[in-house]
Amino acid sequence: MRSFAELVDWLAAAGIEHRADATHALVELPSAALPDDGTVVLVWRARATVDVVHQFAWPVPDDASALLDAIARLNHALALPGVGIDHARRRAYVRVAIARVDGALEAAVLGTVLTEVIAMARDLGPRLRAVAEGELPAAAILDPIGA
Amino acid sequence: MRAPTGTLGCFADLVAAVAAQGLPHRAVAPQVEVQVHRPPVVGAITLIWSAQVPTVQLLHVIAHPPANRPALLDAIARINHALPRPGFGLAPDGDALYFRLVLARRRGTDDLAAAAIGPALTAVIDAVAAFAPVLAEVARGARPADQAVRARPAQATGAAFDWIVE
Repeated sequence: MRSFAELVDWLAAAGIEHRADATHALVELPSAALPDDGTVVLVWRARATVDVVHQFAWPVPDDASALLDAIARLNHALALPGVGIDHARRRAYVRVAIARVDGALEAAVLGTVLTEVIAMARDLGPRLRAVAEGELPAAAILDPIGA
Repeated sequence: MRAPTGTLGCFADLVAAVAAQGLPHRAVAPQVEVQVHRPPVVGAITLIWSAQVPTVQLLHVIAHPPANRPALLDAIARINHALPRPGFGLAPDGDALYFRLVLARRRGTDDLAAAAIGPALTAVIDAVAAFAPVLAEVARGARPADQAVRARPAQATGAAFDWIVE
């Protein structure tokens, strides 16, 4: 896939439900596996990457220190790290950037990353929210996933 | 630097791709260390072929002063958010500041385009060159965490394939 249009065409040909926004070069993919009826967003960046993003619906608290600590622990442990915070929008997210190789996005790499982003959002989202809301210590963020 | 071609299907392929570029390196499976000299990035970038998960990791450990951990984590989050290819991290014990870029391998075939390696090395070097000094300032208390990205040099997100290996 060498352009945003080719990405959209590939999703259609693969039968993957999606909603494309050509103006912003992004496409939303709904997934029942995600919390809060969420979506994964693919963003075709000008700088030779494609972002695969799930943004959590809950807000980042004013004091984000515990959440930042938890995110650092997660990213340190994860095979494919990508948990982050958008300070301006006060949202946490999972984002994995795929570099386009020789200008092209490879479908098989996108498949690997989509699977991982959905799994991270599904498995880690509730625990990150518990940290953000003061219900789970940051140091315990890894306990249930055994990392 | 020549653009490598072909597919990397195993650790030996990764080592061969590094060797084919003429890069100084030392390989001990599943890791190959590439020596880099582009101040302030001096030392090893370790490439790790994971057998457990379909990834190749590129890791560069950054020396840093004893840190105010909360400020450093805040700065890291802001920088990672701004980078096209994020990867700064801090070990839970606070001793290791690093940049770790992870490349996903292809689903099904479990391999990777050889051409992905060079730009990934460049991304590591560019990010560390741009932001390691900023993070050092944050760690020393010389810069507020919320000023970490504003301090970014203009070339921080540049894609120039211009790193130097000695």
